[in-house]
Amino acid sequence: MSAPAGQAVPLLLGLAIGPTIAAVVIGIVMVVAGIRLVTTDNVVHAAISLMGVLAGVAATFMLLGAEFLGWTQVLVYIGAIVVLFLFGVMLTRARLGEADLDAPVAQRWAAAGTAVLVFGLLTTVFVKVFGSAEITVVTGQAPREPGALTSPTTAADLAHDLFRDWVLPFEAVSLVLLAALIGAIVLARRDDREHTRPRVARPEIEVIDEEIGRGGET
Amino acid sequence: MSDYYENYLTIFLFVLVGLGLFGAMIGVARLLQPRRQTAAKLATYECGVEAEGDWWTQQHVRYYVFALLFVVFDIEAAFIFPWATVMGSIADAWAVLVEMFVFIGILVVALAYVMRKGLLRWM
Repeated sequence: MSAPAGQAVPLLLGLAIGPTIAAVVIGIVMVVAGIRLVTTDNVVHAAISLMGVLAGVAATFMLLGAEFLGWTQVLVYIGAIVVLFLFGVMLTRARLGEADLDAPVAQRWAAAGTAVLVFGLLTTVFVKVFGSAEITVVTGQAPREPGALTSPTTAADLAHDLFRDWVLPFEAVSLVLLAALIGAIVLARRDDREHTRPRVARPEIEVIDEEIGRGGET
Repeated sequence: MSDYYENYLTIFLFVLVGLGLFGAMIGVARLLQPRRQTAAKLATYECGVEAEGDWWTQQHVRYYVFALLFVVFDIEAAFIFPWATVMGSIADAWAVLVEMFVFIGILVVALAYVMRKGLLRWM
């Protein structure tokens, strides 16, 4: 990110010092939280570590000037998705800390492979798309060209892109949300019916409850 | 851009001061308090009633529907914020208004479905 002339951002080796230090600190926090997330034996601790990782993502967004996106990350991911995870944990039958969370070795290798692939893919895409792109720093209330790489990005900039160029994906989001809700209801309803039915087919109930417990965790 | 970072630096300093105050209060209390633990003092305190039963209870799945409803409408709200900031100034204001109402309409269908299935009633 380059600062316009007259804007005093202290530079070291061509990097703005403050934001660079912040980026490194955020990165360290995220890596520590990420390692804790996959190594802990307690699902609730894993969810709390996930909160740390997501907070780091939000902080990175804010550091890059995507203020609205950063706060949305806090609201939606930390405020809602992690809560959903914790609800999922509460719904399972397995007692906390007693479930065996260690994945089989084959699964670990698959996970490691996926992680490397995703990292490689994202790095390639970002370098190919944004490799030499300059972000224009906007100060004050300067008007913004549609689709231009500017920083900071305000909620209004985002809205202009969203409601002008990305209307269809935006409407598709509501359909995805609708599908998620209907899916959850199908799962929950089946459970309710099983509970009100006289308990004769006991093994069947067990199987269905386990299914729902697993569905809640994902 | 500098202003932008300076604003966040202020917030960051406030957070640091807050954490410092919290740490100082807990730290002073820790230094000054006499520590004589007895079984009664270490017991789990719950509103003056003795805690009983298992610590782990499986919650009913109906909570999940409420949590998911919250997520869905949280995301809806996240989209309404930027929309609200440009409604007064955007070029095709009517088209944008209709776009948002289509979006909200689809989610109202979801809400109607939940209501029809009786999941908003606390059975």
